[in-house]
Amino acid sequence: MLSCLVMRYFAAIIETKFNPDLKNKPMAIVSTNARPKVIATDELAYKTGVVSNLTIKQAQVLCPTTEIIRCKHDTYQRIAHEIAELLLDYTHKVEVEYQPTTTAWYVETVSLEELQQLQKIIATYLGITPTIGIGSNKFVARVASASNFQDKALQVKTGDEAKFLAQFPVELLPLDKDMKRRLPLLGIKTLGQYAKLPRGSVLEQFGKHGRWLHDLANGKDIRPLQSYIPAPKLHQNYQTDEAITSYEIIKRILEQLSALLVHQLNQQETGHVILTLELENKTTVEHHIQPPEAISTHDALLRHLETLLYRQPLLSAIVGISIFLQELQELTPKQLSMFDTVSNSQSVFEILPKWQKRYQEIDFVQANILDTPACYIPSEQYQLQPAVGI
Amino acid sequence: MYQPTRLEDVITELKKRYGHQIIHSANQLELDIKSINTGIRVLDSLLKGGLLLGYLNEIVGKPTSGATSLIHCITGYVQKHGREVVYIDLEQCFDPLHAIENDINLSQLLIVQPSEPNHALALIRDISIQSLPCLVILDAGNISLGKQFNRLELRLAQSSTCVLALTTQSTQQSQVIVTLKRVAWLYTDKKITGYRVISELSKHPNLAIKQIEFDIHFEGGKDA
Repeated sequence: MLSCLVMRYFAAIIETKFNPDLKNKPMAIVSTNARPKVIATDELAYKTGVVSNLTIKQAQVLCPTTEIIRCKHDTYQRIAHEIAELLLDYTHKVEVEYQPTTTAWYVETVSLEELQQLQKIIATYLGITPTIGIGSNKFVARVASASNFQDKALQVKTGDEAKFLAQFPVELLPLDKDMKRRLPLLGIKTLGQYAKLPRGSVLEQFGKHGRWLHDLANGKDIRPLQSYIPAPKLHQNYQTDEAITSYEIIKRILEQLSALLVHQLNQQETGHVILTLELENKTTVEHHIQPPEAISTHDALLRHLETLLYRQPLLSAIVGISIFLQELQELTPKQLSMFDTVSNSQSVFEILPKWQKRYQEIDFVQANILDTPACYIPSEQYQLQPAVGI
Repeated sequence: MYQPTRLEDVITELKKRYGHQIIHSANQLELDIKSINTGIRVLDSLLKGGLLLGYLNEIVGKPTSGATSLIHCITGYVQKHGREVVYIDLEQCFDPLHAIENDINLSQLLIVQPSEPNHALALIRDISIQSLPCLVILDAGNISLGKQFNRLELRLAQSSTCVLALTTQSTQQSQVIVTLKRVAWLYTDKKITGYRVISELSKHPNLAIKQIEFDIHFEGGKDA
């Protein structure tokens, strides 16, 4: 049996966690492209009719008091993974299904008490209790948790899957564009109606994808649980004694934290730097950077941290600084630049073995004078031997 | 506010404000170029110090012009002064017996015999990237080095490697070119003991074209 813990309005909850002023305010989280559209909302905005894919103007017409917030996928994803790591302390397999609207964590079913403990962990972390669904496979557990609006777990017994799913709308299935258009025309509105269709006809009409969806509607899901493997990351945190309002002081703190992190990196480099600043007004701001070249040195890290720092106007004093280094990898050899000159006091004979390996078509030799009478022809008075490196 | 009026005062003021490297006379520029002595007094005076480090130096001389002897003299002198020498023998005609007469330490001499000029140039590129403080002699003889020789210039810049090419016809791509011409044989008791050459500095980044005449003796002695 599998359990699914679902957190609705995930992005909005994280925004409220980072900025408590947003509590009890309708908000719409919009994409960051040139023509932003709503990609997630909170419960209050949703109740007024603000849904995904609306423009900002449409959202504001429906709910004039809506707070418009730019989406921070990196932050939401990081938190979804952080929660998965917390859950991994209690269960050995966790799968994260991140969406800004609703995020789900699948776990292999443990006892109900332990499941409640997992629920508590998420509730403590985000301030909202997730709903739990238990089923024989991922799809059933997901539908069970999505349809459950209570703190108690909703369990679907083995054998009852098709009966349980029959009442739900067919849109719960991952339909493609063509099926979305054709199913209503065929009068198929619920999972039960779709499940009752002959399997062969479904294959003929909708292909393999349609057949797989037919299996899902019948409560058969063979997808295995893909366990989340936490990626290695480094973290340094600094809580200030007094609120800081000067960039210079923050830069000095960053310098110290950066030195510690570079020491921890130890023959590794990072491709993703996150600077989190806790402000005096109890809000938290996160800035991300994914530099074109991975960072392994103190100077490079400090330079990027300073870039991130200057993205934050110091309108409110800073009380806490955290740095996360993610996407750690082994040091990759850098391409030699023609402008780089390495002062080298190595002997030619020390490097000779490398050259011999690289230039196999070249003969590296050393001349040796033989102890022969002077009357011998010159070519018999010396010998060229393969050179031997140190 | 102080307003300097004389040029010296202006220079002093500039140096005080922006550091001593901000301005200097053209003579001082030459001092920044490092060179290694060839051991031949007249040639060193012609080149104002010797072969330039980080540059392509070239000695052009037809067979029997004394160019190979000169190269061997330079090799022996450079080895004696603690610098390693890599001898790239493109024509594969290196004569160890002649080399030993010019005090070359054969045990410390790495002879490279590539089959193609491109291999030789690739090796020189490697040496210059690693900035090995050695003298690389490229004995090309009649073999054409091609256009790739010119590209070494960029690689060599700022490295501590000195490249000295020996050719029969100038590539015109080196920064320093010295052309040798034998003008007379030198006799002692009807026996040839050396020859007199005219050496012409035909290209140099800092110096003007100049000619000089000197003698090369087979027993290692060189005189102006």
